[in-house]
Amino acid sequence: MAKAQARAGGAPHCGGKLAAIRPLRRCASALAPTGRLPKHLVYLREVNSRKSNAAAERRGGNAAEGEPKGWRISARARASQSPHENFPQKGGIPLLKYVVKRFFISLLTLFILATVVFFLLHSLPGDPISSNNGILPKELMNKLRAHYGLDQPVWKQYIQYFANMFRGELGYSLKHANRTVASVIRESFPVSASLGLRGLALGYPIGVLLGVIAARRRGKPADYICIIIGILAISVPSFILARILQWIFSVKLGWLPVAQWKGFKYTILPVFCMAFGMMNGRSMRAYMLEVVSQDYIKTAKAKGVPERRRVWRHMFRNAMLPMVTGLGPLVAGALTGTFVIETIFSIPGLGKQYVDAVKGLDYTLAMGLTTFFAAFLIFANFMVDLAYGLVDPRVRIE
Amino acid sequence: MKHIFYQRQIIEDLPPEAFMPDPEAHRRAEVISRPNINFWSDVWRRFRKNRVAMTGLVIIALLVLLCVFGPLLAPTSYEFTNMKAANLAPSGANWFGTDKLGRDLWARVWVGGRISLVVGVIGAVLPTIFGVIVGGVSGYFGGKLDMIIMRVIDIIMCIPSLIYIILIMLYLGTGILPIVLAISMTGWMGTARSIRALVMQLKVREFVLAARALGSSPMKIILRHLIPNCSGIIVVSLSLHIPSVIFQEAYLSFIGLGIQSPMTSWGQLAQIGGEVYRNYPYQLLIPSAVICLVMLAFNLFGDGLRDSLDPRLRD
Repeated sequence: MAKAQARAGGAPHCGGKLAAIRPLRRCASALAPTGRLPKHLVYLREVNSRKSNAAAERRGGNAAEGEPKGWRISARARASQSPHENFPQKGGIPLLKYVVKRFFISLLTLFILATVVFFLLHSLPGDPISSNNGILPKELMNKLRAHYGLDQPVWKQYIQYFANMFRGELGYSLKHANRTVASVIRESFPVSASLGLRGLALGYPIGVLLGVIAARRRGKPADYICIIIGILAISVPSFILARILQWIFSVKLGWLPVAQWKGFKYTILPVFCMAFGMMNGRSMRAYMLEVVSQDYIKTAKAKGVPERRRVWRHMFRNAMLPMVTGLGPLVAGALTGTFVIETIFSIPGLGKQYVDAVKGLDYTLAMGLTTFFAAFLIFANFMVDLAYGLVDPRVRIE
Repeated sequence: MKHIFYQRQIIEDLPPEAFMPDPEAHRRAEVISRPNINFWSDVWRRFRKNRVAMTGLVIIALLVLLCVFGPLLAPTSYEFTNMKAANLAPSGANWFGTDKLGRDLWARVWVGGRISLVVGVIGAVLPTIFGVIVGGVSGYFGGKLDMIIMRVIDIIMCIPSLIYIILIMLYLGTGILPIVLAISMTGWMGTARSIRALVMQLKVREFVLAARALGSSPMKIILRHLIPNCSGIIVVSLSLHIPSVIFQEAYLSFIGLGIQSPMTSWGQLAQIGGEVYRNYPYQLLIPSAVICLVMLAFNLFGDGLRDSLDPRLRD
């Protein structure tokens, strides 16, 4: 979403001049007065700009007036140029403005998206009345079509649908008799969400931990074990893992129920399947290795900071920053359910409802669920962008 | 003492020409004694040393060979049904057993592998090419064009891929082409984004300035200067994209939109095996093992490739 705008996209395109600059936290104030840059910091600056172009790109510093063209210094450095400008930067007003702006952009995105999906869905051949009930007499089918307004031209249906949507009405499902879309979501979402959250809560920390261990024990057996687990996690498709787990634990050993969603015992296998895919520490390992070679780690080591503290306070925190970016879509995906796991374990979640709705051309249900998914994803990305500013003080909203 | 004497003897024996400067010496010092190493041969040299990644490459090669020649070793063709020999366990005659219609699973697994690999490779190459071009244009030109392209990508990424996959499959029917197209539609956005970020970093470098000063057209700068500089990332994302496409194809088979019988694919075999796994577990386990193996091999290969391209991360 507008994530890109807040970070990379918002970066000004410096017309062919120098690359980005990301001052070290310590050096920020020393760097700021551009005219009086100490010599050793000039060197530092060049090294930094070469080393961490990508990082600076992600964090998106912004250029201010009065600086040499093409320079991008993080807001903190700029703020220290004139201390009085420090306050509006930190105050609540720009944040509020940003939130409001993002909110409206999100609404617009959602609207465009719903429009696109509406016409995509309606351009699928067939309609919900004739697709399954070929046995119905023609007059009845026409009556049903008229009842649901499907005999109208598509643009009229479109206006009708969006008029209803703005009033908060998502309509009735065309396949489930007398059920509103909202009630389907109300019923299925908690199931998907609890499955997804449990999977996430189990798998994500393990993945991160594996990455940390692998990076700390680089080249040693522990590293290889962590990498192998990570590669297995992305190499074994969930539907295969699910079937094999079912075969071992339910059919052969008889310890756990094969399927359904009735209590804690029923959740173990699907949650593990869900979590296993996330036990991938490879990106965390890469970020950790990137952080290890930074100067502030050397400084910490030189100061005599003990190993454990160095890993968790200095490396882990900084390595987690880029990880946060990926969390948004991950959470959104986990909460809104995965069709495969829900089907194999016959869990009545949203993913299953969604696939059935699209395949059965249940226009209203498919539309409602798509909008719901998209809103969730947009919201999650938004939250991540805000959280990013919280966890990394160098990030400033533009 | 003795050896000094001998040395003096040797020096005195030498003709006076031996003490003249060698006219050829200059030229010989300039000769490059080892073969020239360009970027890719350097990568290959590092890659070869990586035993894990080489294992991945060997497994991929073996699987490709099996897919090409495996069906020839089977007793019957992949679509030959024989109800008398249905659901046979693996044996000397049918190495992987037979399915519920008595078709030989060895033949089916390798014929299915052809489909899966072809879909995987094309389905990864097409969106990568498209994504690279879109990302390159977007990153190079920047400004409004970039803004529009990025917003479009944002919106497309929010649409669940199932909708346009079904749309394409319903219009084009089921077969390899619609599946490849449908999967390609879902895969280009990520590539476009990462290439855009990289191009934005590269375009302020001096070589681009030089190219522009020499009057190259923007498209030439993008295609000849910027994209080759992204080739490392492109190759890695390609090799890591292939297993995910194979997985997506399996996923489509799982929801009943994949390759239709009697043609087969690994995903379809695993799906059919999943229906009967309580009685005939081998029908699930064999295709599953092959899928896991190929995913593993490609992931190992891609990882090794990334390490060889960026040795900074490795040591």
